[in-house]
Amino acid sequence: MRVSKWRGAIVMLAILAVTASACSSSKKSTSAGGTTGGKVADSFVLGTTDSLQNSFDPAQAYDVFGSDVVWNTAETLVTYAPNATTASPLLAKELPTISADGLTYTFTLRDGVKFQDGTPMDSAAVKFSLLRAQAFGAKDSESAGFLLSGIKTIDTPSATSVVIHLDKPNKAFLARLAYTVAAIVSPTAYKDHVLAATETGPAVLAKYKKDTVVGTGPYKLLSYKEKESSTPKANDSYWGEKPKTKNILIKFFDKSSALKLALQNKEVDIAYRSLQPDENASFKNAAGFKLTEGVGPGIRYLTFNVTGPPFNNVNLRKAVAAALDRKPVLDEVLKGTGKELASMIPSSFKTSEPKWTELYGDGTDKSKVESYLTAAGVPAGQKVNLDFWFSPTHYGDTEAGVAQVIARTLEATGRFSVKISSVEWAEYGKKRRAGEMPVFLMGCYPDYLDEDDYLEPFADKSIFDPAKWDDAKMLDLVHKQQVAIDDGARATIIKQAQDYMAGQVPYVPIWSIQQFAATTDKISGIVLDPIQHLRYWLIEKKA
Amino acid sequence: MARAGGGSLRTYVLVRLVLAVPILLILLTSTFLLLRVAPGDPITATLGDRVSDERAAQIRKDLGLDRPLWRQYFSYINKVGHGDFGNAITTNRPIAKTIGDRFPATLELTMAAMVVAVGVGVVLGAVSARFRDTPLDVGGRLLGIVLYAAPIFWLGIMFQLVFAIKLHLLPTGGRIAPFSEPRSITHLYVVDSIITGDREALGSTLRYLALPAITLGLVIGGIFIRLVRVNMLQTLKSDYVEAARARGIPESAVLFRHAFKNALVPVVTIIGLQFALLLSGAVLTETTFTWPGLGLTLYQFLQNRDYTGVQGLVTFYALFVVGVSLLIDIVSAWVDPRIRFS
Repeated sequence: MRVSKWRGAIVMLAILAVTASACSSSKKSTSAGGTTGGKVADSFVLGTTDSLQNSFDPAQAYDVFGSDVVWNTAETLVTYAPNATTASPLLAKELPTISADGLTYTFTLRDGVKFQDGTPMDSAAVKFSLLRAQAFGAKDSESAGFLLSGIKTIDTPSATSVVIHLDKPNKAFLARLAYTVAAIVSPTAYKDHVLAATETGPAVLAKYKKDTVVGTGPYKLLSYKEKESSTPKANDSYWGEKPKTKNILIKFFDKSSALKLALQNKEVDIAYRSLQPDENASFKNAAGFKLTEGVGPGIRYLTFNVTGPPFNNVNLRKAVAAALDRKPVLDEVLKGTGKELASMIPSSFKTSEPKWTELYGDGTDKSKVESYLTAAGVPAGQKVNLDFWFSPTHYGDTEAGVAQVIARTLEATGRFSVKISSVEWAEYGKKRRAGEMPVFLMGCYPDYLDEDDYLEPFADKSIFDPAKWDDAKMLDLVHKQQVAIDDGARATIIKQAQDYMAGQVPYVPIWSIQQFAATTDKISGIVLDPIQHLRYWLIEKKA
Repeated sequence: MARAGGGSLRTYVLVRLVLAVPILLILLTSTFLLLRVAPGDPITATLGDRVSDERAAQIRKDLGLDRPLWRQYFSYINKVGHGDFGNAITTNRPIAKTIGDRFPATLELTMAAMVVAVGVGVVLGAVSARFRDTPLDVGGRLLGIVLYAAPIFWLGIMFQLVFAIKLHLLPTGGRIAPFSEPRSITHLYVVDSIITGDREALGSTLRYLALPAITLGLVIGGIFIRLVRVNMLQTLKSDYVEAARARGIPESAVLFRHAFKNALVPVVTIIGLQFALLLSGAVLTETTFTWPGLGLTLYQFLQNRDYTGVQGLVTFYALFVVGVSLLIDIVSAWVDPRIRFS
């Protein structure tokens, strides 16, 4: 009897092995997430090291992954076409009529658009969504709803007409309306997720609709497993052009090395946000893979604490700006994944002017360094001690290398002695706020695609201003460009603002962050443009 | 005799249950204190630069971190006693729900790894003992030491490189192929696939399970190789084996029916004790293979410095290991009366 039990167990194991082998052969016949037979697969797998920070509620989603999902499942009145930097209509039939004083935006909505729950998209839904997000912004400091704070009232003269009144003109308002916080959501689905006037603290957060999005977008969110996977599925009743791919599986990875292995083994079709520079490069010329590169809106820069010594001395700041050589950073550490930045406004904007390199050169002119140090009162031949800080993981594994190379280029002038220190991000923030770091590395991803988002946060201490610059003239320029109605006049003010900022040099732009997506060669339709959201609906995979 | 034995077992079980209480309290207190002596403020460490001061203060209040330590301690013990592990700061979800979602994957992995560990350990240990001091024995012993000493993540990466990247036989990570999940009943994919008769899901599950289970199983298997070998050698020297041989029983029958069976008794006890080692090994294995279990979640909480998340999962692990140990003690005592009398 006992022998027969052992035999039984062996037979069971053999059956399992044979079953597994048979099934694994059948799996091999289909590509990752794909189907056989047709020209285009009905699914693809996207791998990412991103994760959801808060929720999928457009009023709360302020992180890259959360707003990516909102971008693909809900829609805004206006948007950006691939590679465009000016807005185009989406749920609005056309761009709005703007009153001469810049205070009133009149939109006409598309007919016949429905939310994924069947509710019609009309002017009431637009008013509901924008005021809802604005209300969250007023009570939750971490919501992007503050971008809509300029809305005074919204009128809905008819089901397809929306009139938005602003409390003051804001040239960046259309760009703000294109951001995911202004996504139009179903009033039916969100009726219980609206703030009354009384909530505070956790009661505000409890009102978000966290688990899904009910919009009008080309995809709907089928499921989300925390830090494991997410499955957008094509919205069958979508009003516009149908998405290229029906089913998407988004797999979350903790480490870029694991994501790289998964792509190498073709378990994922796309590795997006983020492989390390070396890992991206390994797919550039690899057979069966390709690397798509795009302009990114993110910028990296040096920040001086201008409120205390030594960098309350503007000439010392200028000397550092003149000594900084960007090329070794780009070549040795970033290996082509960054683009030289000579203004706080990236070169993808027409108003961007390379003021920093115009004033301070490219880091190779030592005579400039000498003259600024002399003007700063540093005796000839004396070295200036710099206390330089970075955060080792927040901006990726390359950050230590970036800091080392920057220190090396500064010391190469023979006039600086650099002490490098690092601290994790939470402590970094505390030190920044306390003004304990004289010069340090920072980075910024804009919320909306407008020059304003590269100026205001660096001048207005109530928004960000890590240099603690708080300069009245700069703030005046920022506010003037915000309310300027004429495009030409606004461009002139923006150029003046860059000129002034470069002259005062509280920040030194270093590079703009490029975007990369490593994919198998069966994937096409990936657009990486300054809007920094992946358009799932354009992506397709050959079967 | 039967009544006396039954009474003795009952007493034994009661004693073990009572003893489990201080063990649990020591574990819970250690978990509580260790997390609180860690430097830095847990809220800003978790949420970093993006949290406003007022939000940080609010979260601190919600979590009770603004209260005296002794109050926090009793609140923690009380909540754990009611099965409430709190909410993770980073996800704002109940940790009990996260455990419910993720633990089946860890359980499936550890069970499969145990099968590998016992299979490899018993076979190689028995072979080593049978062919003592031969090259087979030396090889088996050497393998046992190497496997036990090998870091799990290194072994896992080597397997990924060979079986996934070079040979394209198995996937590098994950639990199942995209869009292949079986209908969820027990959340154990192997079991669910069999119950629902989903062959494709079963095949996919076994393919994805293979490398993580072998990696974790081999490391634990190293212990079993040495243990089974030593036990077999001792058993083979015992009087009853000699007697069996003297009676002319064939060597294979002596080995398998007499020596082998008895040599396995202590191994069964050790299997239970290895569960704790398996669970800690699962953290590294799940991280290496992106296996969506509780170990990977713990790693994610640690990476994000999610103080309440780590506390909740470590507490659950502690309770689970104590529970399993208690169960093994009771089963061992039930099977082998000598244990309760000793």
